[in-house]
Amino acid sequence: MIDVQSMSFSYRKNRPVLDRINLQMEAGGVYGVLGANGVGKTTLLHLLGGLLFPTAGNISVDGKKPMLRQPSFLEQVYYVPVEFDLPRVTVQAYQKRYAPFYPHFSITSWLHALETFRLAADASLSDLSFGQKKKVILSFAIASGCQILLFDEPTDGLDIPSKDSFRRLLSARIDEQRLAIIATHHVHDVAMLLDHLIVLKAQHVLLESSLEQLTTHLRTVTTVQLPDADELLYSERIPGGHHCLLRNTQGQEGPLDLELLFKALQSHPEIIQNSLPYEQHI
Amino acid sequence: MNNTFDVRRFVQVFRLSWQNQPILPYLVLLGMIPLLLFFFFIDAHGAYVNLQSETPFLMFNVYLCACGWLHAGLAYSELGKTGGAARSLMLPASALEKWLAKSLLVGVVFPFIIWLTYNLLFEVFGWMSLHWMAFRYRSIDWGSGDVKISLFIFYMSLPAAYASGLAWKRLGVLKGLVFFVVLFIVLFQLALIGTGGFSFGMEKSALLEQVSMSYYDPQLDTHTQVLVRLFWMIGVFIPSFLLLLSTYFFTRERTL
Repeated sequence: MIDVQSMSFSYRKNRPVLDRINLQMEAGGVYGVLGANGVGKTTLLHLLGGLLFPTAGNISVDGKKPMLRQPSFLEQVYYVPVEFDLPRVTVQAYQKRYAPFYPHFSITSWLHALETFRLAADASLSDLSFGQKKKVILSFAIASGCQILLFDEPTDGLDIPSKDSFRRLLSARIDEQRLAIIATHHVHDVAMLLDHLIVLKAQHVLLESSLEQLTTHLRTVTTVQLPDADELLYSERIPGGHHCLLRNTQGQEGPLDLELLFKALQSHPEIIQNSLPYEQHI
Repeated sequence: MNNTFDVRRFVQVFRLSWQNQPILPYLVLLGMIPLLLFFFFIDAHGAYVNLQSETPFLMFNVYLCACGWLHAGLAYSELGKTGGAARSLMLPASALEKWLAKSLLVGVVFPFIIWLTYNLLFEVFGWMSLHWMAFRYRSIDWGSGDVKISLFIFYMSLPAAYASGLAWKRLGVLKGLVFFVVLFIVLFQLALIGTGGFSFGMEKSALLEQVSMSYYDPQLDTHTQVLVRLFWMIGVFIPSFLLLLSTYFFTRERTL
């Protein structure tokens, strides 16, 4: 569905933010994009949405070039930015203004999302808090019926119940035809949603893998004593013990702490690479 | 699906542009003109002076130019902020539809509504002033040469305001105004080279004298008339049209 080939982008000459990256994303998945500040997560979303143009290479989204911003492309892609500037109208008026542009917009989903987020349709957007405005945009994105949903820090500003509501709404919406890409620092907020992980570092894709593959080869445990050095890939001290990233040598099933994996990738990328049997761009 | 132009989509974009750029504040401001006219009337000495007064025309001109500039310059104000720009650029419509909708709004709908409202207000004000004070300002003769000149100035400068709002993310209208006033002064002074003076005095070059004073002169000989029209074409119409056209390409190529 999304094919990125040797794509580079720079805001200033000779200072690339992303350098010859390759990515393939298929429908039916929720992709998490992780990376340190300024590494290019938002830039990647902007490039996929046609809001920025690559300086080299190609991006193809469902066979279309995002940079052309053709209506047939735009009505299939919805982007939820970190910053948004909404008109001074009611929630309902906002929907009435923008929904006609999305042929697959679902009023039922919209009303359901508003209800789930406990938002009143007659509330004025200018009177809403940042978090409430975010819920309006998230509701619209989910109801838009777009095949590709791009989220930049979607849980920023949301309270704890709303984060849960967002997860439920999105997971109910993602089917075999749709794809969501979430760029975030708050990986715990969306970890349950993700089935693919993309980690960016120093202009490159450090890791691109399905969660299924990762959990086959890696696992995380919390122990009082440090485990065997053979198994241990990375650890950090926590009160009363250690939080460890281990090789999953015996095929144990268990949750993988993505935040710990991210930290391990930042400090010892080559060790993680060696523990994965498939090729990574490290 | 037609990715260049679709009538249904264009109507939607036009409606959205209309909804997102409210005209009401401008109409409220327009409503101040009759009040100002009333105060000018109180200050005036005798009805005859007022009956011949150009004040309504002057006020309408100033209003149309100032508010028309402001309205045109703010047409792309949403592009100044990342969130607004993302919403606008990713709105499912073609660049042509978005540009055309805004251009129509700025260049046709806005002036027409202002003109219509002004006439209505003027009629109401005229009726009231006649009824209560046995006085009425002279109506503007919309077919006069003066009106044509003012509309000409308005439309020739409108692309500059439109482009300013696109070129500068913040305070585009103001920056554009300063830029084009400076540009005008520089060009005007350049045109005066050879006349011995770099000022806005009465001494003009033969060329400026011809083109500014003789544009509507029916007694001009054909040869001079062609030269004058050619000058305006190259000096004003084409740059203005190109500036307007550039805004389309600018929006099409615009990124965050």
